[in-house]
Amino acid sequence: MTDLTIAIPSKGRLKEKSEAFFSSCGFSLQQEGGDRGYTARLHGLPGATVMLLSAREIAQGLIDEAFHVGITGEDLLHDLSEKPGEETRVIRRLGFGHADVIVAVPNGWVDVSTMADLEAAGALFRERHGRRMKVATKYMRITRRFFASRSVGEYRLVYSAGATEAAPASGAAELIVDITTTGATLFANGLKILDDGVMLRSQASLCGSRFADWSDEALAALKTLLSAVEARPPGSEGVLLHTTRQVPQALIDQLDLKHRGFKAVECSAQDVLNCVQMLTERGYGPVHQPPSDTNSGTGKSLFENFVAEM
Amino acid sequence: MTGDIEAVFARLGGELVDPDIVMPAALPLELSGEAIRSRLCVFTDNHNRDVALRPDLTLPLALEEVKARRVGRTGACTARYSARAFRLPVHKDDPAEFIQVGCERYGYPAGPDIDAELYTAVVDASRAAGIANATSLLGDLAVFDAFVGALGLSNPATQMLRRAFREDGGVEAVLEVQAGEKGDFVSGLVGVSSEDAEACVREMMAAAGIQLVGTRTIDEVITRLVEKANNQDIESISNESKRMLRELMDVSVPYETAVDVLASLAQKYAIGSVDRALENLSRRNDLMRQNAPAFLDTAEFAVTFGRRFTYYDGFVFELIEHAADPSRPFGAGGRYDRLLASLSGGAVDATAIGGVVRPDRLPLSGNLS
Repeated sequence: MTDLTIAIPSKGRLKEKSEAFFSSCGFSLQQEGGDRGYTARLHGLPGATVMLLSAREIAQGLIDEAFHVGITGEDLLHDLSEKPGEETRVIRRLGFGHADVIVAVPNGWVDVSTMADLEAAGALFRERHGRRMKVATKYMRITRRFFASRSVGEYRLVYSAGATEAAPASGAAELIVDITTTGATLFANGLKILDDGVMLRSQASLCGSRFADWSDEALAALKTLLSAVEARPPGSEGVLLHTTRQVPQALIDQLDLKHRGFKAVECSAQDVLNCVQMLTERGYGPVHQPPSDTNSGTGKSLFENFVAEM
Repeated sequence: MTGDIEAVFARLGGELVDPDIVMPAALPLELSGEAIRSRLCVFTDNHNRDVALRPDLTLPLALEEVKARRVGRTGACTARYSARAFRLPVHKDDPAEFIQVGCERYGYPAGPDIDAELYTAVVDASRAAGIANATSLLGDLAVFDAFVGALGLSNPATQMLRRAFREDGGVEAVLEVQAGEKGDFVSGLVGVSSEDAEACVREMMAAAGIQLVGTRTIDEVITRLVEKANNQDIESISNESKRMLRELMDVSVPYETAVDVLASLAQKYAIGSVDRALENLSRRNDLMRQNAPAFLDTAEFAVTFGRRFTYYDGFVFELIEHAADPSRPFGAGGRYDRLLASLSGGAVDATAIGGVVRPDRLPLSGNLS
C-alpha cells in the first residue's frame, strides 16, 4: 500500500459525522459504487484511499497495521489491544460519538457505591453462593485491567454482545460493564453507575497505526490531511466539562448543555466560563475541563507529533 | 533428561498418571479469577461452551482426587506425572505446550517436613537433569495470614486484608483509604440490631421504589451495610497496625535471616500468636539446608512471594537460573491445603502439596549432554 489508507465508519451517525468532519477540512467523500460501496476517495486529497468498515473492524485494523489512519472509538482501541497506546495513537478527538465505559450494579445494592464496596460485596457473594459474581460485558480486556487496578479480584467475566443492561434482571450476570451516553437505559433497567465506576471516557477519534507500512506517499498525504485538520475553522465545536455529580436533565436543558456521559456535559465554546460558574454554584463542582486534544500544549503540529511516535 | 527427572520424583512413591487434558473453562477461571484468562488456552466446543486445555497438572489431578475421596478414598497418596500442560506464552521464547514433570501429594500431615521433602525432590530432580547452579525464591503465604490474624481486627477487616494481599497493590490501596463519609442512611444503622437493620433497609427500598433483582440477596446487602455502619472495614485498622503491615509487606531478605527478621517485627509491634508460623518456617529452612543445600546460597525469602499463585496458601517456591529472567522458573511448587475443600464445596478435606520441573526451561549449561 503506497497510498494513504483511511478507514471510516460505514454507516449511521458515525459515518455522517465522519463525512462532515472531512468536509469541514475541505475534503468531500466520494463513494465508489454509490452510497453502499465500501471504498471511496476524498476529493481534494490525492494519494488517499478510503475504506468503509465497522468501528470495531477499524480499531482492529489499526492495531493490526492493516491501514494507516481511521476514525473509531477509543473504547474499542483500548479493548482490542493487549497494550493500549502501543500500536495506535489518537491524533485528534473529534467531538462526536461520546460514550463512557462504566461499571453498573442493580440499584437495590444500596451497600455498593464504589469499587471498594464492590470488592467486599463480591467476596461475600462468593462465600454465600459458592461462585464468583459475574460481570456481563463486551469489554473483556478493559474490564479486567480496570478491576485489577482497583484490586477487585472476586468476579468472573461473561461475554455479552448486546442488551447487556438486561443481564442482571435475567440472571445472566450480577452486574455489568457497558457503554452509555446519558445513563437513561441503565436507569430504566434499575441499574446505577458506581461513583468511581467510569472506566473510560470515549469519543470518536482520528487515530493512526504507528507501525503500519508508511510509504513516502502515505506520509505526504497524511501531512496534507493533518494540516487541513489543524486549519479547520474553529467555532461549532463544543467544550467538554466534567462535573463532580451527574447533572440532571432539567439543568442541562436550562443551561443549554448537552449530555456527554456520566458526570460529563458539553457547552458552547463561548459559554464556558458562565457554565462552569452556574454548575459550581448549583453544587456540581469542582468542574474540570479535560484537554480537548492529545496534541495540545506540545507546540508541534499534529503531523510532527504523530511522525515522532512512529 | 526427562527420565532422570522422573526417577527422582519416583522416590516419593505413587502412580504415574495423565488426567484429562480438556476441562470446562469455568473451572480454572472460577478458581483463579480473570487474571489468568489471558494465559488460558480456551476454545468453544460444539455446544457453544467454553472449554480450556489444562494450564497445569495440579488442577485436573485435584479434581480426580476430589472424585476419588468422595467415594471413600482416605489417607495419604501421591500422583506423579510427566505430561503436557498448555498456557499462552507471555515470553516470546516460551512454547504454548510444554511438559511438566512432577507430583502432587494429598492427605499427608501439613507441615515443614513434607514441605522440605517436596522441595528437596524438585531440587534433586533439577540436579539430576544437570543443573549445578540456581537460586531459590521462597515464600510462605501463611505468614501474612498469621500476622494479620494476630492484629485483633474485626473479621471483615481481616478478610479484606487477606484478599487484598493477593492483588497487586491491594494492601497498600486498603491502607491508603481514608475513612469516608458514611452517608445518612448508613449512619442511621450504627448500633442497630440485624433484625432492625433489615426492617430499615426494606422500608427505605420500598419508599424509594427499589427492587432487588438477581442472585445477590437482601441479607448480603444488609450484612455489608451493618459492617460499614459499625466501622468493621478499614476504619478499624489502627495507624500502628498499618505501619506494621507496610513493614511486613516489604520483608524480602536472604532466606536464613527471614525468621529473625519476622520475629523482631512481631516483637517490635508486640504481636503474639505468630510463633507457630515462624516455627514452621524455621524448621523448614533447617530441613532444606540439611537435605537440599544446592540452590540456597543466594536464596531469597519474601513475604509477598507467590501471593499471585491463586490457590496456594502455604509454602511456595520457584527455582531460577542465576541472573536469568525470574519470570521463567524451571522448577516450582507449593502447598494448597484448601483447594480440595473448595473444589468439593467442603465435602472433601485433605492437605495438598505439589512441585514440578519444566524440562523445556532448564538452562542449557555445558554439563548437559
